[in-house]
Amino acid sequence: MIQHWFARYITSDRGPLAGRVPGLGLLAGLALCLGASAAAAQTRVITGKILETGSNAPIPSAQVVVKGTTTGTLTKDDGSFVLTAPDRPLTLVIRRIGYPATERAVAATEHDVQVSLARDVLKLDEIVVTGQSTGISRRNLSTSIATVSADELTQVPSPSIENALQGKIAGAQIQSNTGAPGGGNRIRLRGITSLISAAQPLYVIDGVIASDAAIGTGTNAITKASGGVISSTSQESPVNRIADLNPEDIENIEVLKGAAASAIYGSKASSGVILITTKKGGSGAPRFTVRQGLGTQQLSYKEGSRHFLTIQDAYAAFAPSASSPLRDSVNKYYDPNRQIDYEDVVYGNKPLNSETALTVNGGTENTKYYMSGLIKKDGGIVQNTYANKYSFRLNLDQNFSSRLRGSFNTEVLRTVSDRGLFGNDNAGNTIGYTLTKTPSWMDLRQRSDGSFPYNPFYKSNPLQTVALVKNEEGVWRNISSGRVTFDAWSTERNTLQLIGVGGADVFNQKNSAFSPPALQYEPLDGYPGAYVLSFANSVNTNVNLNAVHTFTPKSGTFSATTSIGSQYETRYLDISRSSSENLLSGQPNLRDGTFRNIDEQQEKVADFGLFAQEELLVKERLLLTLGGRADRSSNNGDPSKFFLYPKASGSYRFPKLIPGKLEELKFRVAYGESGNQPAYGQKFSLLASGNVEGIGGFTYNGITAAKDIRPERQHELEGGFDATLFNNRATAELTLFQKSITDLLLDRSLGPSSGFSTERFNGAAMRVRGLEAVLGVVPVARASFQWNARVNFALNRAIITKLPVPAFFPSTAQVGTPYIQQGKSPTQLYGNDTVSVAGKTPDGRDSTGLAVGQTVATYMGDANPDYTLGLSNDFKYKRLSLYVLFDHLQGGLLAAGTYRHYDLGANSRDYDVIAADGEKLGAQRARAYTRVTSIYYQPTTYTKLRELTVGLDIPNRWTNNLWGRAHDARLSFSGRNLYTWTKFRGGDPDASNFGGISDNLQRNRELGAYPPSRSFWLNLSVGF
Amino acid sequence: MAYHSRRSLMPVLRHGALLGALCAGAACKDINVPNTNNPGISQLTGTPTIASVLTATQGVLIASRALAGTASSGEGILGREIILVDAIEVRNINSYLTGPLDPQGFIADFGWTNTYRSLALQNAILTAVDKLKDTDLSPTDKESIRGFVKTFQAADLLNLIRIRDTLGIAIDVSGDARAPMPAIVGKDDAYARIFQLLDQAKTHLQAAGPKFPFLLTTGFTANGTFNTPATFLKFNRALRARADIDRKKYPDALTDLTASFLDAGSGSNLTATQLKNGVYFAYNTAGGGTANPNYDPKPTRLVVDSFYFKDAQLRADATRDLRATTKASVATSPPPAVLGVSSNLRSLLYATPNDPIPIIRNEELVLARAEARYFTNDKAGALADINLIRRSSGGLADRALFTDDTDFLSELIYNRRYSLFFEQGVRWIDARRFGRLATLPKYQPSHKIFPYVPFPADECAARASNAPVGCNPVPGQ
Repeated sequence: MIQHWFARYITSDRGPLAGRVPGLGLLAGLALCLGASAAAAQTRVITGKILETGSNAPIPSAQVVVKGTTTGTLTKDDGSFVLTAPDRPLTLVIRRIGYPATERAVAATEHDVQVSLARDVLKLDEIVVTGQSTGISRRNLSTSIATVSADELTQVPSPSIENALQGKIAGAQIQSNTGAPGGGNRIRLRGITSLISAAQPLYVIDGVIASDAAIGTGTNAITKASGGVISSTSQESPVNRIADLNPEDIENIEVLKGAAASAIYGSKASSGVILITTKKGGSGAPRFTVRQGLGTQQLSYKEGSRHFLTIQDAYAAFAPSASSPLRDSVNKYYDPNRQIDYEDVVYGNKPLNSETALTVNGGTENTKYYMSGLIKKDGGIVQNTYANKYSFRLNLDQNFSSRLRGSFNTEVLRTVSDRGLFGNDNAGNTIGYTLTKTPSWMDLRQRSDGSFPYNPFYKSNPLQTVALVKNEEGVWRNISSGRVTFDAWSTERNTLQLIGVGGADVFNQKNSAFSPPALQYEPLDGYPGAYVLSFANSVNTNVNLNAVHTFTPKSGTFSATTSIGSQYETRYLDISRSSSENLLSGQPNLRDGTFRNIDEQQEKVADFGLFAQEELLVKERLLLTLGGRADRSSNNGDPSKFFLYPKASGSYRFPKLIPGKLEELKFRVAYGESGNQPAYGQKFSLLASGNVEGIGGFTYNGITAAKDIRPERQHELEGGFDATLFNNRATAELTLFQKSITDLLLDRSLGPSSGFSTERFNGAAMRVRGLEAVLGVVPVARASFQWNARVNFALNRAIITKLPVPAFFPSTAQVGTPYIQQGKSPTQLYGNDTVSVAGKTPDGRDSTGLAVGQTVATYMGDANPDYTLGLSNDFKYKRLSLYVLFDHLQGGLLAAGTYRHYDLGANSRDYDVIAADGEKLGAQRARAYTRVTSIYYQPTTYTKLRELTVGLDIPNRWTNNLWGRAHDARLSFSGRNLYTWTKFRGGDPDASNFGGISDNLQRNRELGAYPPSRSFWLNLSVGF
Repeated sequence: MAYHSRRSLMPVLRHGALLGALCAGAACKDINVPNTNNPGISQLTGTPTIASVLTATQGVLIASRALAGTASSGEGILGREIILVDAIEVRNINSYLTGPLDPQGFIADFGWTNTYRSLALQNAILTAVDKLKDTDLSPTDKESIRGFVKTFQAADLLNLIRIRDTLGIAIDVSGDARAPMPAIVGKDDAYARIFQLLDQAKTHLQAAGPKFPFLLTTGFTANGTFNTPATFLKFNRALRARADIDRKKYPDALTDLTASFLDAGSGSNLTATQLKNGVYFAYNTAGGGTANPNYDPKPTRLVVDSFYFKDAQLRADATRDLRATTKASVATSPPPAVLGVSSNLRSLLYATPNDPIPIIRNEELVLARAEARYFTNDKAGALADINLIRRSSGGLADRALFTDDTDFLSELIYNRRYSLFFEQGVRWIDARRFGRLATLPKYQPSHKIFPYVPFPADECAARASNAPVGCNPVPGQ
C-alpha cells in the first residue's frame, strides 16, 4: 500500500520530481524496500549502569538502544538506566560522544547489565554526519571529515569560533581581517575554490543555514579608502557574523571540506560546509557548570620606527628645501633625544577581559533541556576598543509519544563593539596608517588640559583619533530551529523516520561611526565632522523535510539506509546607510550635518532543493553510498532550472589485520559534485542611476552579465586510508583529493573601448590537488599520566585548466596582483620588475621588444602556502594538564603594506642603513618599489604558538569543604597566539586585510590593520 | 499484507502525504527574484520607454563629466599646473612626475574607461530614440536628443584624443561585450569623426523644436544660456572651433567661432561675466550628488605649481598678473613634502564642492580667435584679441606688435596658461602642439615630461594579439 502510494507520488506527473530530476525513479524503488510488519511482542525491563573504564566514573546522558530498533533511553547522572525491551535475547548499543559505540549482548534471562566504556581519545567511534539526517560511525566513514569537539574548541577563549579552529583542521587555512576585538576571519578549505564568487563555507547550525554575512561598518565615509561611497565592506575589516556564536554551546563541529563530503548541500557547498551541533539536555536533576575567565592582551608584533639622528634627516623627510612649508615646524619640534615609541603608546592598552559562562542541563525521560548564558567582555590593546557578547540559549527536547519527538533550539545573541578606525585610508586618519607617518620626535600625546597637539607632519593626530572616533556596532540576533521526528514505522528489520526541520536566523545590525569635528583631519575636506548610520536586517529561513528508511535483513549481514528530502530556503538582507557631514553642533545625529548621503543594498534569494541518498553497510565492513541533490535558485540566470549534484562513495575496512600492530585498515574513495551559486545580482546587467542638481540620469556602470549565468560546479574525487595502530593507541589518516571546478564565474576584464569594463560569465575551470594527513598518537596512557598528540598536515596546488579569455590581472602589477593565466596557479602573484636584459623579462621569459630599464609584470611567487602543519599535545599528570597547539605555515606571499608605508613616510626603523650604492635603504626602497613591486612582498612562513593551557582539576573533597554541592572544579591558565616565529615584516603574516569582497583573490594584502595581539586567560570552572 | 498492519501504516501515509504536499508547494513556488537595487540595462537597450530615454539623456551629463575632473587635475599635473602632494597616495608624485607612464601603472586609465562608458551610453540612447514611436516623442524632440547626444560624443572623443594624441583612440564603440574590439585609429581619423559628429549634431539641432524635452543643469544657464537647441548649437560650434585649432584649421576656426557664442564685447574690456560665459559641468553634493573632485580647500594635497607666481607677468603697479593672484594664493598650512616635492601655493579655483568645471568658455574663444587670426595673416586682429584678454583678465598693459611667430606663440601660450589655468589641461596641450614640452619645469632631475598617456592595462590585455603602440610604457623626456 505504502509502496504503491510512494511510487505513485514520486513518478506521477503531479509530483515535483517527475521528469525534472533524472534517476529518482530508481531511488524511489530503493526507498520502497518496505516489507515486514511490526509484531506485537512481550516486553521486559532491563536496568543497568554505564561507567568509564579505569576511573569507574558514571557516564551520564549515554544513549542505550536495543540494536535494530529505536527502543532506547538515556542514562542518568549516576550512569544508570531503565529500559523496557523485547523479551528475547538482544544486543544493546551504547553511544556517548567521546566514547566508542559499544555493543553488549543481553541474554533473555539477564535483567541487570553493567558496561564500561573507554574514552575515545582518537575519535575512532564518533558518529559523523553523512546526509541531511543520517550519520555513521567514523570507523566506516567513506569520506574525510574533520571534527572538532567541545573540549578542543574551548581550550582557550577566542574572539570567534574560527579562531578556535586555527591549526586544528587539516586543509583549513584561516586568516584574520583584523586583530580588533570581536573577530573577523576568512576560511579557505582545501585551497581556492572560486575566483570571484562566494569563498566562505556554508554554516549549518542544528540543521539551519546560518548567515555568515560580513557587513561593512560605514567607516569608508570617514577614511575614503574606497572613494566617496559610504561603505566599502572589503576596506572596513568587518566582523563576519558567525563570530556571534557562543562557543560554549557547541557540542561539536564537523567540517566537510570538499564536494565529495558536501554534495548533499548542493549549490551552496563548494567552499565547504561547517556543521555545528549544539549541546543537548540530559535527564535528571539540573546540573550547573559555571566558568569565570579573566584575561588581558598585549601587542604581539612591533615594527619599530626610525630614529632621526639629525635635523637634516628630519628636513629631508618633511621639508627638503629651505623654503619648504614645514621648515619652521621641523625647527620647532625636532629633538634628537626624543624618541616616542608610538606603538607602545597607541597599542599599549592593557584591557581586563572577562568571560562568565553558565550552563544548566537536566530533565526527565521525556523532557530534556540545556540552557546557557554567556557574558563575554573583551577589551582591546587600543583604548576605547572593545567587543562584548551576551548570549542565552535554550535547547529543549520533548518526547510527545513513543514515536513522536520534537526538539526546539533557540539562541538570543547580543554583540556590541567599537573597533576603532583602522585599515586602508585615503583621508590620512586611520590609526595604524598614521603611525607609519608619525616621526618619533614629534610629541603628539595628550596635554594635561585634555587637548591634543596639532600634527603638522600629517593630517591627523592618531592619539586624538583613538580618543574621539567611535565605530560602534551592535547586533541583536536570534537563531532558532525546530525539529520533529516521527518514527512512522519501526520493526526489527525496518524503520522509517519522517523528519521535519525548520528554522530561522534573524539579525539586526546597527553601525554608527562618528568622527567629531574637533578631530585634526575633519575640517580638511571642508566638512568638519562626520556621522554614518547603517542598519542591516537579515532573515534566513529554511524548511527541510526528510524521510529516512533503514532496512536490516534477518541475517543482519547488511543494513540499507535510504533518505529522501527537500529543502526550501530564503535569504534576505537589506542594508541601508546614511551619512551626514559638516556637523554643525558636533552631535552624532544625521540632522546635524549639511552634506548628506544615503544608500541601500538589498539581497533576496530563494532556493529549492531535492535530495536522495542510499547508504548500504555490509557486515559493518563495506559502506557504499549513492546520492544526489537537485537545486534551483533565484540567483541563477534561469531560476526554474534544476542543477543536479550527484555523489558516490565507498569504503572497506579490514579489522584485526595484525593484532597489536595494525588493528584496522580502511580504504575509502568518494566522488561528489557541488555548486557555488552566483551572488545575488550577478545575473543582471544594470544601469547606474545618479543625479546632478537633483536631475536624475542613467549611466552605464560598465558591468554586463551573461544571460545563462549558473552555479560553478566542483567535481571532487577523494581517496585515502585510515589505519588504527598499536592496540588502538594510534591512528593515521591519509587523504588525497582532486577538485575540478568547472563553470567558474569570471569577471572578464573587457577592453573598455567596448563600452564595458567587465563581463560576468561562467567559463573558466581550475583544478586543485592536495594531500591531507592526520596522525593521532597516545604515546602514554597510564592511570596517572596520559599523553595524546595530534598532527595534521595539508597541502594543495591549484592550476587554471581553462581560461576562455586572455590572461588577465585582477589588479595592477604595480601594487602586486594575481595573474589569471591558463596552466598557472590562480594565486600566483605578479608585480612590476625592471628589465635588465633586452627581450627578456626579469623572470626569464622571452618577450620581444622589451628594452633595458623598462618595467614589466613579473612573477613574484604564490600566495598559496606550500603546506600547513598543526601539532597539538595534551599531557595529563594526575590532576595537572598541559595542552599546547602549534600552527605552522610554510611559504605563501603577502603584501606588506604597513612596512611599505613606514618607508614612504621616511619613518622605517632601518631607513638610515646605507645601501651598497650609498643611498639610504628606506629611501631606495620607497623610490624603487613601483618598478620592483616584490620589495614589499614577503613570504608568510610562520610558526605560532596558537594555544596553551595549563590546568588543574581541583579535588572534589576540597570544593566540598567550601560548598557541599560543588564538584569538578578546574583552574586553568591559558593563552592564545602567545608567540609567533616569522620573518614577515610589518604585521601579522596571517592577515587578510581586504576581506569581504572577492576575497578569493584579495587575501594577499596586509595594510594598517588593527594589530594582532596575544591574549592570556585565567579560568575557574565549577559544577554544582 | 495483513489487515492490522495496513492500519498501522495509516499515519505513515498521512505524513507521507504531508511531506509530498510541502515538497510540491515549495517546488512550485515561483523563485524568480527581481533586482531592486538598480535599473536594468534592458530599460534602454530592450524596449525603451520615453522616461528611460530622457533619463539616460540627462545621464550623459554625469557620464561625460566623469572625465572632467581627470582632465583638469591629471592633465594639470602633466602640464605642471598643479601637483597632488599626497603622503597617502605617493603615486601621484612618483607615477605622474617620474614615470614611466605604464599601462600596468597608476594613471594609465586617465578617463579612458569612463569615456567609453559614456560613449556606449550615448550610442544606446541614439538607438533607443529611433525605436520610440513618433506619437510618443515628437520627431523634433528626437532631433534635439540626437543633436545633444552627438555633440557630447564629439566632446568625449575630443578629450580622449587630446590625452592620447599620436597613439590614437578607438572611435567605434559597440556596447557589446562579445563584439570584436573596435579598431584604434590615428589622430586624423579621430578628428575627422569629431568634425562629422559635430556637423551631424548641428543638422539635428537645426531640425529640433524650440526646447529640449529633458532637463539640463545650471551648467547651461548660469553663465549664458545654452539650454535650447538653438543656443546649444553655439556651444557645439565652440567645440568645433577648439578642434579646428587643434588641427591648425584656422579658416574653419574663424567660421566656427563666428557661429559660436564668442563675445569680444564692444568696449575696451570684457567684464568678468563675459569672460566666464560658457558651458560647464555642474557639481552638486545635495541628495546623493557628486562633489567637484578638485575641491580641496585646506589644501590636503592639491597644490599649485611653485612657478605659477614666479612666471606671472607684472602689472603696471608691479603686482602680479591678476589671473595669478585670483587663482592661487600662499597656503597657511600646505601639505608636507612627499618624495621631496612640495609647494606652498594653493588653488583658489573650485572653492566649494558645488563649483562647476568649465567645458568651454568665452575667454578661450577669444584666445582661439587670436590664434586663428594670427595664422590667417590678421596679425593686428590677433594682437587686439590678445590685448583684450591681457587687459580684461590679467589687468596687464597692452603689448606691442609681435616681432615674429615665436614671440606670438610665447604670448599666446602665456595667456592661455593663465586664462585657462586648471580647467582643461591647456598648458600641457599647448606645450605639446607647439613643440615646447621641454619648457615645462622638472622639480627634480629624475622627473620627466610625458607627451601623452598610454592605454590602460585592460584595453591592452583585450588587444594582446595585436598590441597597439599605445600599450607601450611612455618613458617621457
